Amino acid sequence: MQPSAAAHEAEYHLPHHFSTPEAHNHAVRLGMWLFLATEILLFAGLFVAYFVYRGYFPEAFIQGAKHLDLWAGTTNTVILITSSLTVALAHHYAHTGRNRTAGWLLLVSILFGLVFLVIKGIEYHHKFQEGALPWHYTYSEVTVPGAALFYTIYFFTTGLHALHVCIGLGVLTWIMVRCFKNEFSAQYYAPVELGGLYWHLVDLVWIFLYPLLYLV
Amino acid sequence: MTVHNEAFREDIKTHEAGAGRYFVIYVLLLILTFGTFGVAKLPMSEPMHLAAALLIAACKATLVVLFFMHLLEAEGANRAVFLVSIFFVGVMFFFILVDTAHRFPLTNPQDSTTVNLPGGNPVYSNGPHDPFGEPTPGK
Repeated sequence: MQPSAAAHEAEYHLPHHFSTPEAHNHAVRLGMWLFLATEILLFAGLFVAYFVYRGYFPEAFIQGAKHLDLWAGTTNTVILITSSLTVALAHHYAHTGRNRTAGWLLLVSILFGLVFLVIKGIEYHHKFQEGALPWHYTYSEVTVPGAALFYTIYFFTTGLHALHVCIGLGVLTWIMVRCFKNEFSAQYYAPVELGGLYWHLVDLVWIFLYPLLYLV
Repeated sequence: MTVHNEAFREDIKTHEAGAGRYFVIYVLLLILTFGTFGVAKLPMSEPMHLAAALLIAACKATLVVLFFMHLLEAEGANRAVFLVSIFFVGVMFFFILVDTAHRFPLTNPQDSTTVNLPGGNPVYSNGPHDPFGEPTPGK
């Protein structure tokens, strides 16, 4: 049985400078979108670097992409998209007061995130062993000019992305715990929504990284 | 108060939308993912591959932003924030790429391919046609 949301609405205190809970929700959502805009521009800087150096060394980028593990990249894409679905569903259920369902969905999302990191770690390990290190490049399979640069960009973009996955996992864990404590209701679900937005952004970045690094 | 009315309207809308639509978006995202995987295997030129991959990624990103991130039903201010950030990403891409594509070749990294975009300074280009051998006729 799902406990009724009404019993917990008393726990939500509207800050006095907001006229209604809706106005409060609008404000926190706007704040989150402003933060996401800074994140988008942060990653865009790395994407610009990718295109500038792809312009200088097209062959290195084509060869480099062919020597990344395409199956690992594709699997990770499917994993992140699936975790985005479960987070979107968690938001939906938290909004309708079904905290327990939302909690389980967040747990599934967290597990997907962990699998993503493990696969990424295995990929990194292989590339380290093969000598595709940005600071000491000894990879014998890709030796065209600019090859080291491709792997530098690969490690920087996926590394920054993996850092975001780690932060996202922390946020999702915190929200999951609160879901299991039955803290959210139709009136108050902002943490689930904002944490979800962050996780979707992580997915969004990977949607562009996957084809650029692994496919073309 | 407009704030009240807007909030009320939006709340009703999100209540109406069921969980089913997330699954529809998910299936579309999976189809596009395997689509981009398949397109990458087609025999096409490198710029075409890049364009196709970016187009499919943009479609996927649009689905995620509109439905998973609820921008479709978001307040105008949130949409503005997102669109302005995308606009500035465009500004950054445009000016940096135009700049690096038109540089004097000796300033480019060693062993790099010189990019010659139309409109580049022909005097300094070392592209396929040698500007010193065949001077451009003046107007």
